[in-house]
Amino acid sequence: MYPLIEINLSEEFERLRKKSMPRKQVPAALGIAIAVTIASLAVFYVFVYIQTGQLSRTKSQLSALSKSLSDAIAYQAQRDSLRTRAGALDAWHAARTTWAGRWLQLAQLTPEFVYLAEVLITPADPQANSQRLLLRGKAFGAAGESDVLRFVDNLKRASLFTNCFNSVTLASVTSEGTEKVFTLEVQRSATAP
Amino acid sequence: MLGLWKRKRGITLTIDVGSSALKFLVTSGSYPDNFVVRDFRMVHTSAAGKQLSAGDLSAVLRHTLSQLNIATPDVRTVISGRQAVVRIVELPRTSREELRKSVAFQLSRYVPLNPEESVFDCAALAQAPARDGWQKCMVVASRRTVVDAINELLRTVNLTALMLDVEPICVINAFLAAVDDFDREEGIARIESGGIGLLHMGSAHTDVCILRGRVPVACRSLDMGEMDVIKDYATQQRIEYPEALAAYQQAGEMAPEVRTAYTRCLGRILAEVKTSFEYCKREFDFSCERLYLTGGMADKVGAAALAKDLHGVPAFRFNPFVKVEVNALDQRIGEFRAVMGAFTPALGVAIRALGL
Repeated sequence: MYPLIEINLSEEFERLRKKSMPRKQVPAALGIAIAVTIASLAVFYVFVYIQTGQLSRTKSQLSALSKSLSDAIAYQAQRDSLRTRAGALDAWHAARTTWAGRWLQLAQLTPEFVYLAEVLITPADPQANSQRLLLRGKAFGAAGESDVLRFVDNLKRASLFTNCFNSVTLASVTSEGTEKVFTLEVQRSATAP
Repeated sequence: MLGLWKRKRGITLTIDVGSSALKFLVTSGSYPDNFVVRDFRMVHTSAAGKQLSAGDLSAVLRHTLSQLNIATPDVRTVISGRQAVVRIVELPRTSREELRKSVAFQLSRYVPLNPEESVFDCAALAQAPARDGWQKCMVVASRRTVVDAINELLRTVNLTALMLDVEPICVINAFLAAVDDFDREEGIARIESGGIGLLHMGSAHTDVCILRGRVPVACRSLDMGEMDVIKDYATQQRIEYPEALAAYQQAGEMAPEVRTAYTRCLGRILAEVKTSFEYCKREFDFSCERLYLTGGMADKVGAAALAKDLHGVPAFRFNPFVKVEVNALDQRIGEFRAVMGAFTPALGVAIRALGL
């Protein structure tokens, strides 16, 4: 049969024809590219999701620690303050004149017939730059005066006193009956260790 | 019940919405091997010479479809040649899709219609001679309002037009499908490359298709047809249109007065055909060797002989159903043969493969 002229103005037919036409094949490379893109996006999404979770956890931990941080800062300030004060105390402690050993030595250096009636320290501040130790005592017996002089010598040779006091002076010696009354000044003008 | 369902599945319904009549053709099978006409109806819609309204047409459609007892949702239909523009143009050889895109792009070059308000289709004429790398193409366009009106009409009776062809193309298709068998049956020589005038003479207009051998060369639509015969007869006899119509529709030989009016009208049509062939002689160097007549006007007894006398070339009332099985019509075969010329467009669209 002779070929017929295939004219059709029906839009419904055209719609059905297009519907029944095989779909165009998408090139494999494009499909692979789309698949790779989707996979990459999925991995990226998972990564971002995990990181976001971690970030939120870290933020919550940080917010939980903020009170501890403020406490720590307060403690640190308090520590610094205490350290400063401790340093000052240490300095003060180091600068003070320790008397216990000196009293013991003073007792050892005092001759047998000499006794001390008054010990006066002026000023009382052990850190004062100049401090004076006034010793008043009596020596009885025949060798009273020489005992006083020996006492002075002993003090001058005692390192505990010479390290701390740079002058040992016998201020006065007077007689009261058989006794010799003496006054001894031990003085320092610089800070002793 | 199952057999009935199976039988109805393969049935094709074709409706030709003509100027004065609705033609229903019910067929089955595929052309030409087992194509059978199962039923037909011809419903005149302009007894007073006026068109029916859309509502009345819908009522007629619904009534006739109930008579035909057809349950198909799809239909094939035909647009009148007056409501379409048919052009044969030469375009670069390409696929159909590309051809459609190309024509869509420059439709206004080929048809005098606004592309935005048109529906068009095009098809390559494979057998038509053309320059190297080029091909002859048939471009058909119609106003969208026309197509929408037909679709709307069919929608009112729950039908969808899956094939919407144009009358002259349908006539050419019916002719191409059957002309070799027709020539053999009539005992006339096959025309290989000579000019052929294919005249589909309808009620209000006549489609003139000029072919060279089997290749369409040009199509024209003339505003002349059976109505002009009836009006001429009514004027001459000073009677009303319905009365003249009744006289015209009488079976058998035409009455002398009717024949006179018929001859006058046919003469005017053939004068236009002669002009067209003179143009073909000048432009393409071929002359008219034979006329084939179809349509309701060609169904009148003696029409072919009159045409031969008037035009001076052999003329035949073309029978497009020459290879079609019509025995299923039983006692209505004679009735069908009397009006088969009017069913030529319907057959031309019914024999086409849907191609889905």
